[in-house]
Amino acid sequence: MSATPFEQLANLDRTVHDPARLAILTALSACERADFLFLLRITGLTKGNLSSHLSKLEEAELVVIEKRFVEKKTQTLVRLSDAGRRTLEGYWKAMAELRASAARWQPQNAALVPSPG
Amino acid sequence: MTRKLDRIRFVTRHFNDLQGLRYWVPLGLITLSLGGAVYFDNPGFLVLRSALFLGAFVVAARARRYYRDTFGEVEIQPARPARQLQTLSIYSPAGPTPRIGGFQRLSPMTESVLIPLGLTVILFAFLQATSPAMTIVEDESLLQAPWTTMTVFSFAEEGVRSPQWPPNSTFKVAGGQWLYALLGACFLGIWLGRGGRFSQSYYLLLGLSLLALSVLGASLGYFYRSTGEIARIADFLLPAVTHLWIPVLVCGGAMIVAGLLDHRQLQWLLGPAVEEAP
Repeated sequence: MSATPFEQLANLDRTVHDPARLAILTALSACERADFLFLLRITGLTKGNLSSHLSKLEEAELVVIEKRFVEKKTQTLVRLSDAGRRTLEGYWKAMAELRASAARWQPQNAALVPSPG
Repeated sequence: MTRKLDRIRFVTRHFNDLQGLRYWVPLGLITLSLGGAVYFDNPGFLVLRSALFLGAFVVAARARRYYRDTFGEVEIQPARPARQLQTLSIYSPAGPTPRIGGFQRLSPMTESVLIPLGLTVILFAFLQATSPAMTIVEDESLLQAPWTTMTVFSFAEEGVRSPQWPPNSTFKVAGGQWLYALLGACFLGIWLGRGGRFSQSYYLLLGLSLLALSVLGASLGYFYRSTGEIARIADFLLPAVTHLWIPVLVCGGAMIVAGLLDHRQLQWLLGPAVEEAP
C-alpha cells in the first residue's frame, strides 16, 4: 500500500524543506557557484541567518564552501555539491508525487471526517 | 513560495545578463557616439561624440565594480556538458579506442539569440532582394525626407556602373535598415532566451518596433505609387529609414533604454540589503 500524503509530507527531507535553505539551494542550482553577498541579496536573509543555514547545508554535504582573496578581502563562494544536486532533484520529485497523491487522496474512514455544520 | 523560487532561479541564471549598466548602456553610448559620424563633423559634435565614446568605457569599468560590490558575483554554469569517455568500436589490435563524447554546445542564451538573428538575416535579405528597389538621393536638408527624388532603381544594372561607386546613399539606407533588423532580432532573441517573461516584455516591444522599421525600410518600393506619391505612414517614417544617422541614434537609444530597464529590474528583484537586528 502506498504512503498517504501525510506520511509523504513527514518523510520530506527537512534540511531541504526549510524555506530559507530551499531558496539557497534553488539559487545554487541555477549557477555554477555564487558568492555570499549574492546569496544574501537574493534570499533576503541577514548575514547571521545565512551563515547558519549555510553551515547546516555544509554539514549535510549539500553545498561546498570555498574561500578566496579578492583585493585583500575574503570572498566566500558557495556551490551545490553533486549530492546536493541529487538531493534537490529528489526533493522536487517527492513534492510532485506528494501533490499528485494529495489530489487523489480520499478519507478512508468517513467517521473521522467532521460533518459540515 | 513557487513564485519566489521562480524569481530566484531567473535572477541567478540571468544575473550577468541583467547588468545593464555594464553591457547595453556602454554599447549604446558607443553607438550614439558613432551616430553623427556620417553627417555631423563640426568640432562641437566631435567633442560630444568623443565624450560619449570615452564615457562608455568609464561606465563599463565602474559598473563592473558597482555590481560586484552591491550584488555580489555569480558564475554561470558552463555551456558544455561534462565530457565523458565513450568507447568507439573500431577494428584495431589495440582494442576499442576511447573518444570524447558529445559536442561543444553553445549556451542556451546564445542559441536563443542566434536563431532569430539567423532567421532575420535570411528573411530580411529575401525581402530586400524581392521588393522594388529605390534609389534615394541625399537631401541638403537633414529633416526633409528625400522622397521627391526617389525613382525605381535596379541595383544590379545601374549600381556597379554608377560614376559614384559605391553608391553612398543606397548603402547608407540599406545599412540603417540592417541595423534595425539585427538589433531587433537580437532583442527578440534575448526576450525568448529569458523565457518570454512578462517582466522582460520591453525587449519584445523594442525588438518588434525595430523589426517593423526595418521591414518598412526594405519594402519602401511597395509604398511608392505610380503618381510619384508615397503612402502616408511611409511618408511619416521615411527619414527614420533613409538617413543612416537616425537608425544609429534610435538603436543606440534602444540599447541604453534596455540597459537601464535591465538594471532597474535587477535592483527591484534583489531588493535592499537586510540589516541585522540590533
